[in-house]
Amino acid sequence: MKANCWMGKKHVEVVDVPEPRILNKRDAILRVTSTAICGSDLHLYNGFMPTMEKGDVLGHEFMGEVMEVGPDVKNLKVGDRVVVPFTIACGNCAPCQAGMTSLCENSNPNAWMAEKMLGHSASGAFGYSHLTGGFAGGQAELVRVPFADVGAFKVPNDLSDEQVLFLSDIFPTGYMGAEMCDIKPGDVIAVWGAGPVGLFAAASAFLLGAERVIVIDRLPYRLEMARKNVGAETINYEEADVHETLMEMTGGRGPDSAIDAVGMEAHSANHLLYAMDRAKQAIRMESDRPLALREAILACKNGGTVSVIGVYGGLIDAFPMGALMNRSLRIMTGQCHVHRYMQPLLEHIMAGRIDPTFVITHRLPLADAAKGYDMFLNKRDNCEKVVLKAS
Amino acid sequence: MSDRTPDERERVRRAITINRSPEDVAAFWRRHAQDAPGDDALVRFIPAPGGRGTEVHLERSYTRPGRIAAVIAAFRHELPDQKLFDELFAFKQILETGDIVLSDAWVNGSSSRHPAQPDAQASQAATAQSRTNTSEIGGSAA
Repeated sequence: MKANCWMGKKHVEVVDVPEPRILNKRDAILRVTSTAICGSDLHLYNGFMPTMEKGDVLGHEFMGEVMEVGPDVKNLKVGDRVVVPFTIACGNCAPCQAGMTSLCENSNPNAWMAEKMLGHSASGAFGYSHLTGGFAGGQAELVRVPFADVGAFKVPNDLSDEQVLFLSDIFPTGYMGAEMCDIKPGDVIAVWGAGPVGLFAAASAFLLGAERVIVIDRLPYRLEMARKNVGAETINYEEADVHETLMEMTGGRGPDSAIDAVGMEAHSANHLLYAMDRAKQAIRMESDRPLALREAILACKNGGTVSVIGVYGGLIDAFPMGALMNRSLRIMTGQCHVHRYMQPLLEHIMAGRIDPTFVITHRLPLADAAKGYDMFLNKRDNCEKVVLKAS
Repeated sequence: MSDRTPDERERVRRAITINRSPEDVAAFWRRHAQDAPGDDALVRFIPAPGGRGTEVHLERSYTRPGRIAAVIAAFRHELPDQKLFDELFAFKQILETGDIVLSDAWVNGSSSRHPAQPDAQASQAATAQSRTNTSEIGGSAA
């Protein structure tokens, strides 16, 4: 079968690989119909995530049709149309039973490796390095889904792939980012990053009752999407000082909650700060550039919440712990517990309260995955979200 | 965690919490341990606080490898503490999920790791292994 493989830094290639088979009794095999390139795939593409190997099949946002099920999968049948969460969860361990499926204790065969880097392991994930298990991803014609009885989520046939595909990651991730803010009527929420996750976080903040949402980015077409499709106010950080503008927009209080939807590869209008973080990254003094996170912490109102859904992989430098402690800020974070959001967010889609297709700017065949990665990384042709049609 | 025994062997200790009752865990351990190598294992089952299942504390003693052998073993994920972790992790997986989950890259174990893509040759052997794991505990999960 054809699959999009990581071949090295800034090099992906669609090549022939063996077809997957059932390996565990709770597996299913899917024929992938649609898959997407995630902003976090760019961290792999740019070589920022350790433990990648040449030939790894990428992709953690995908959906498709069930082709085969293992003997212990009783709730799926051949032909079912399903969306699959990017995290893999057993449903049996204590975190899974508490609804924290991205912390599944059984789904990462490389838990020992993750423990060394993170202290404890989180769950396994599709197509996202060997640190998260070495599972082949869904940017392929076929994919094996472990614990399919828990993960594969059946979707109605009257909804298109594009309406439900993002239940796999970016819509729940954005929603969880907003939910962690514990939004109350009248709240003003600031979101750093107008990528797809940032836009879903902004849209979700409105769904959860925010009065105003302010989105911060540097790309005019993304900010236009935030205004037009989400109804957010915007700040272009290359044109205005973010802190001063936020203080002005919020009567000097700062936003009630600040969502970091940027993560480890942040940019900044402050070229000196940006250069310092790039240099620290280059000499391995830090693995991630926390420019947006620092800004979010400093801007958030006293006693407010900083919600971190942008991906971080390792260590950061110059973290404003003093601001966090002295100003009674609360940090909420985590990889999304996708499983618990799929049904409620599907209901939002079916009720017409949100149409997730608004983030899609490009549709390409799987064979053009390399073009999609390059376009997405370099923001060519106003690229916001690339959907790959696998079959 | 590790220290040395009076006879200069290396003693390694590790604990894991399993989301099953102490009775279930102990019963399965007794059955499983019949086949396990190393008669010097010391295992304790303690109810986890808050009804969170059972803490399994396992201790084994090994002859310490030489320095070079230890470096090679660490690289191959074969040091005693690494093996102990693998043993407890597999035990937890089987008791909680009924199986040992296999990823595409590690389907043949750590000694023959390959890129995260399907492995046509390994599939049948892995399926047989999966069948064995599950039947060993009667197919029941937590």
